[in-house]
Amino acid sequence: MSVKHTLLALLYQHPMHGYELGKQLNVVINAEWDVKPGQIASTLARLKDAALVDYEIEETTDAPNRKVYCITNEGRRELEHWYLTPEVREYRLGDTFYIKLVLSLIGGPISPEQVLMIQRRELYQQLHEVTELLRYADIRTQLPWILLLESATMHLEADLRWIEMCEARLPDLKHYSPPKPAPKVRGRPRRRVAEPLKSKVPGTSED
Amino acid sequence: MSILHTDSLTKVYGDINHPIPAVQTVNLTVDEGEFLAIMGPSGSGKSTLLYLLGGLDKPSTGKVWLRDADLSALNDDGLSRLRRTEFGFVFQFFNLIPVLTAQENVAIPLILDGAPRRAALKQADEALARVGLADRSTHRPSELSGGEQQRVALARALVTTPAVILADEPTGNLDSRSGDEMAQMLRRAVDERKQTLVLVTHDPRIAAYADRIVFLKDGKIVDENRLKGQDRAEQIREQLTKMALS
Repeated sequence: MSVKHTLLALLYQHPMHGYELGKQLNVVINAEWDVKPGQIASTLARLKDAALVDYEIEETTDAPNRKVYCITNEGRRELEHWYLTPEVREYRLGDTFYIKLVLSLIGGPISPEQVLMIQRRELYQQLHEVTELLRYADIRTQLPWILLLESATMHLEADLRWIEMCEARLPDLKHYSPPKPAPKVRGRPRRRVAEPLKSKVPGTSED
Repeated sequence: MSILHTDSLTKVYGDINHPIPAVQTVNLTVDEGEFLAIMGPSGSGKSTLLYLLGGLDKPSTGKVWLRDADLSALNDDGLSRLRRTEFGFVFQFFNLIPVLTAQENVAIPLILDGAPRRAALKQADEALARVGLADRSTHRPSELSGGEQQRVALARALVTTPAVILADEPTGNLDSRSGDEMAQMLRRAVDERKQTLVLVTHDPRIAAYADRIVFLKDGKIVDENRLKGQDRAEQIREQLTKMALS
């Protein structure tokens, strides 16, 4: 996720100092935030260099002076541009399960039926857990979490439907054999072999 | 504690020369208070199995037991009575009587069982309230949406507080939001009233609400998946909330 744009989106609401920004992040996105404390500060420094944010020094009597950051007009434009640009969706289509399934088709200790069954079981268990989490989520206070759970539900559903389709295709896949790799040419190149003489066998047609 | 039990259950359609096996030597046990989903491709025999469980169809060979009652030992009247008192059915196509109101539709099983009309209508209203349709009880099916009609059908199935609810693709005709609501209502019936639910579906999202899924293929059970009691919620939560930072 883009730390830079997340900070701009928060500062768009009102000016904040660094510590407040960190806390707001956890609250708004409701995700585990693995960022090191220095990362917010260094991103803010880069935003300041790019003139997307600015700061004022706030003087307090009983604490060290701190910077209160605010978004600039340039920063607002950058934020708007980010919202207007669609995200690139990466699908892990050619993932490890796909490879495993294709390999099981060419023969091995476990049949493709079993490979599909094992994967299906795992996906149903995950879908069950996600469904349970959804049942107990509170729409008034946990909407971002609910959106995430519904996204997980639909992706798992899609995976399960694909597995169902693979199962339906298994009879076809049984006749699948991978193409043989082209034989490697070895040794010295030979002279062109002369065409064999057409044999004249009595009783057969020439054409 | 098992409530439904089958023993080498088999159903063959067609005749001697062209037999069409729909269900083949199925041994299945359903526990009291369990939510079991039966899944499988078209033609796998899942609906046939459901109808056999509910006494709506007679097996070719094998037996179905409801607690200690052997369904094959009952005559038509006995079977009819058992179905009315012990089972509630929900089908894909709502099967509501178009000239009756929602309340009247739901009251029918009670009236058939000999309840006085006023008491039956009152109980029907309570059942409608449980599915969130208390304010639509005087509407006819044509005045209700698909999701609402299916909820009326569910209320009708629940009004006799049956021990076992059998549902055949109850969300098949609904959009995903209504389907989800229906699945949640079914789940609540199991959790709150300890009713047993056997549900046939091809929709993974609905099946995920179950405690156990049984997979059918060509009339036989080919896989079984226990969903309840895994305790993976924390693991899933972590997986979902760890985001890559840049």
